[in-house]
Amino acid sequence: MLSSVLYCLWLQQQSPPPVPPAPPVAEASAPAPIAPLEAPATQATAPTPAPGSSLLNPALSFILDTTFGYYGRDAGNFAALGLPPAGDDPSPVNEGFGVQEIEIGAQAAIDPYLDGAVFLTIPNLEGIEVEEAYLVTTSLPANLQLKAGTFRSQVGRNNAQHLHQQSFTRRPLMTGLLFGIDGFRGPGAQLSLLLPLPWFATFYGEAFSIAAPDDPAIVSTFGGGVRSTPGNLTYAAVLEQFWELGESTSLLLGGNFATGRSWNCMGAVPCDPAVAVGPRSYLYGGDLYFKWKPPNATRTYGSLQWTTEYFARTLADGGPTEAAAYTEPVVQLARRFYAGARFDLVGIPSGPNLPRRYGYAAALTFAPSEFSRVRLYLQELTGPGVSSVTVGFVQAEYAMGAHGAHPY
Amino acid sequence: MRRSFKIVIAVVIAVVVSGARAEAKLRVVASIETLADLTRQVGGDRVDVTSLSRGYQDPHFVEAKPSLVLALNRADALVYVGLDLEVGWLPPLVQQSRNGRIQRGQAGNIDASSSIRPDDIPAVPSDQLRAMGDIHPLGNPHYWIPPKNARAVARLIAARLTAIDGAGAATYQAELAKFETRLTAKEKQWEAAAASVRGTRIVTFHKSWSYVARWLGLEEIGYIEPKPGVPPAASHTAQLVELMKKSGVKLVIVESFYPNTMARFVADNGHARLISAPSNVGATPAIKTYFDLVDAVIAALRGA
Repeated sequence: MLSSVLYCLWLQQQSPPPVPPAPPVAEASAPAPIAPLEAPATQATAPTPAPGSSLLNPALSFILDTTFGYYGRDAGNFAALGLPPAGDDPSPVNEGFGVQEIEIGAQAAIDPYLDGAVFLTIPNLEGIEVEEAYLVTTSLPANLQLKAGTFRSQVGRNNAQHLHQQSFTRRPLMTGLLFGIDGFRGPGAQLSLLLPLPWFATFYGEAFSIAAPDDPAIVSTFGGGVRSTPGNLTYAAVLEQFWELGESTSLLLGGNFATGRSWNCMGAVPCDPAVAVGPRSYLYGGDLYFKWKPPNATRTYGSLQWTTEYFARTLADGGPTEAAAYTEPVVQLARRFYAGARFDLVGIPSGPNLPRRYGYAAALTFAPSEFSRVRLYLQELTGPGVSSVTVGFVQAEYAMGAHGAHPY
Repeated sequence: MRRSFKIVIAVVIAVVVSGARAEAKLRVVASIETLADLTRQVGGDRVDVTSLSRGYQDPHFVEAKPSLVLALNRADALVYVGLDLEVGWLPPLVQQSRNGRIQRGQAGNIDASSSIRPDDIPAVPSDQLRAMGDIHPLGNPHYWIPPKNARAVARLIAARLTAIDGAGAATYQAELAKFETRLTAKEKQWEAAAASVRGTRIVTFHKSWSYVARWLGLEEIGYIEPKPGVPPAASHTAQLVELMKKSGVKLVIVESFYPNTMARFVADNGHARLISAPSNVGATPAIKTYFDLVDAVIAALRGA
């Protein structure tokens, strides 16, 4: 009964008064003649679209990431590190020139109650994937929001980002090792609640059917078992909080927990999925994002953003607890230049699947405009008992189409 | 018994919620401080208005801080410039607000640009737009200073506030009339004061003074940015300085949130005077209202 009353209240919310038309526009005064330098020709009024024209099309965007580089002079050394590249990292088997990723995005309002988005990706020219395709509600009652489809989990900060939202050419080592080669994403549903607190705090609850990993040789945190079995679903909970420490500085803190069924073929070739059902896994950790950026940043173009994440995985039934972390400060040096450094630490604690490894990365980004950028990326990977490997890439990124918003 | 208890609770919640809404002021969020002030002017004491950005910020590049979601979540209405000025930061905040009242198509979603006639709509094929720089395909969004446009925006806001809060219709109409009366008088004063600069040739940093130029009869000769959003190269600057000398440009205008090093160089070498002018309420602590803003713009133009 209570729910039906609330539903009625919600329906009332969805039936606003009709939007009145805009009042008559005041007559334009005669414009002065203008002779701007290199200004485009203009027309007095917006063009009238033809019936059935492209006005109903979603906002389309195409983002292309090209790279040139390598994973060390000796490919065997890189493989010996046991640090598989993430799905949208440059391909380790196609060094030299490469197309790291092509992303095709389409976003639109579905109806007055839903927004929708589809992001298709072609990583390293190896076939098309659905990176995300979801709908999200815009006006559920009680500050709730529902997201459904296939999408990136809210767990962690890097995991939720697409390649072009990152400040480095490769993802942190932690992401591929603990979240999965393609990140923690898959078909599922998410219900989030904006908590009624004086500061921003949102709680996310998620359930996913995570697919088995493409590479059966690795131990995967999630993806084991028959996915329709409720006990084999992956469940996640995230509490995200944000504080403004001043007009220029702010802090975003995430607390994360996820549990599912691990995938472990234990080296069997070919791998039998029925055997690959590993023990229950627990993924937990925190992410911290600090930002300093004056509100009138266009005066100086100086800013700092600093991300740090630590995540651990525990496998049940006496399995190991293994963890990894990274920290990455990125400084805006000038209007078009950014410099970043990242330190990766894998194996704290270490275990059979996460041996101790260190990563030292630096990136210098030149962004000629909002829609293109060129990046130099260097990374030194090392660890006890293995040879060090230097990874280096020049990455160029181009965005065509709709102007995407800048996520915080 | 259990069922009756639930009904009572539901009714109490409904009564409390509706009662609270009736007593409370209308909460309006504006994307920039000038729109916040126009809303205060026509909303009077029936509205509680906050701005998502500060007047000393470049409104293209506001940080989409999660804290802004809180203000949007509680808002009865959102007033924004439109024409894609806020496209880089506002849409995800509105989506995350979980607030049906301010979504597109609702009375509380007030796109101020729908009340004016936009200028500078690029007449180039859509696949060539980005070659022109970071231009706004729907038209130039820097329209809020000329009184004609402020009047249209104020009327739109009053109409929408009335639609949302019918009980306040008389207040909104009275406040709008008061605003328009004052605006009409001030408009005459401003135009008289700016008569001395009519016909002056100007160069601006960004193409954000076109509406003011058309209103006051200034003649735009060029821009320090070769294309919107593109920083100037030395060759463009040299070309611009030569053009200024040939054209007799007297004034270089840069918005106060931009660095004026380049503008000063251009002004000095082009034998023109430099104005670092406010373009928004809140650009300086003294500019608290739309009228203060236009006073300051006119004073800056005359002072130059």
